[in-house]
Amino acid sequence: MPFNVILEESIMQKDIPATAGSKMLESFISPIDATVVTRLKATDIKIVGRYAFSEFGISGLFREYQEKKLTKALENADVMLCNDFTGAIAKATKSCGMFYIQPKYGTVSRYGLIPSVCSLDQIGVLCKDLDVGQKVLEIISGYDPKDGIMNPDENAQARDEEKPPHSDIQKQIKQIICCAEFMGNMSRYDGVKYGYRAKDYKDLTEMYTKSRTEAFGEDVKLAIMIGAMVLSSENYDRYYDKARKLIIND
Amino acid sequence: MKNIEKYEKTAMLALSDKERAELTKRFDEITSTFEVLDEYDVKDYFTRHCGLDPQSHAQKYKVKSQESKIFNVLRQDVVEKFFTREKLMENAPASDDEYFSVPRVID
Repeated sequence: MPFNVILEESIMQKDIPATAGSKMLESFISPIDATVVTRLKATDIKIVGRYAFSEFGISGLFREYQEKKLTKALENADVMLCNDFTGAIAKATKSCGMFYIQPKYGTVSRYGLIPSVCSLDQIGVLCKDLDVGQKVLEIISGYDPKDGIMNPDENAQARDEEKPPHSDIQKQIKQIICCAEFMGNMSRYDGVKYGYRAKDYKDLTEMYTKSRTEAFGEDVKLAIMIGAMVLSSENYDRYYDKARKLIIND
Repeated sequence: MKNIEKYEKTAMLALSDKERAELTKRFDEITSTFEVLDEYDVKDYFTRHCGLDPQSHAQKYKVKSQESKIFNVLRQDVVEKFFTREKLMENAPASDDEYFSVPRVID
């Protein structure tokens, strides 16, 4: 199968920078291969490049992706592996004749994927030809003990996808849950262990604050602050807890 | 208009006045749409549809008597060497090769 595959910037390839599209990680070199990369390397599929739709993929939560972003991503490749936790990539495929295969949660290992929204993170396949996409999905899917949410029982059905019962508030529920989880995941970027660190600071708090302020883009900052709002003690019950309750399908 | 400064502090950000003005506008636009959730009484909704008290856990519970599908998948408790110290330190923005360097935290 001489397919060419392109990876989203959030998928790690050993000894190659994995920026997740963010200035925060511009100097981060992956210490490992993601499980999907290991599986691709065992075939004759070629990994030909890396591409980011937006910083940590979060912009899809606030606006639609332009068709040309997808066209550009697949300019020199047959398939792209990406994490479409906002649904923006799948939505954009409709207008440009591409396909996005969104596997059920727990189908593809997320080991080596830079996390954005853990309860929705799942590596999927963007492709021009559905048959090619399916072949690549077959290669990358399957149990991996390194991803704790996967079920070792090969015959087990992946958990049913949970859809919000009220279509008119789906967008709000998604934004609340995504921002809340996203905020938690962004808290690891403090300029200590890896990632961007500001030049001038007088104490630890200022180092954290300056590093984050200088390195995060506008959409990331917005999502983090919305996350902080929905999780704050005065708003938790009203927004986050309620959204979690409404997400359960009847 | 909501005051985003306290969330800014929680999020460990220090925005410029210009950036704060822009983000406050977008923050208000988005969070004002969340108010629609106030119209939903989750208690009533769940009692009607499931005969259950509402849960905030993502797992489905259709009826009380149905056994929960939640279970843990655990690895063998065996020590595995993940990285060497040197490998971990390669991505550190500041280190003395053995430890991460940070500003002094004790006076």
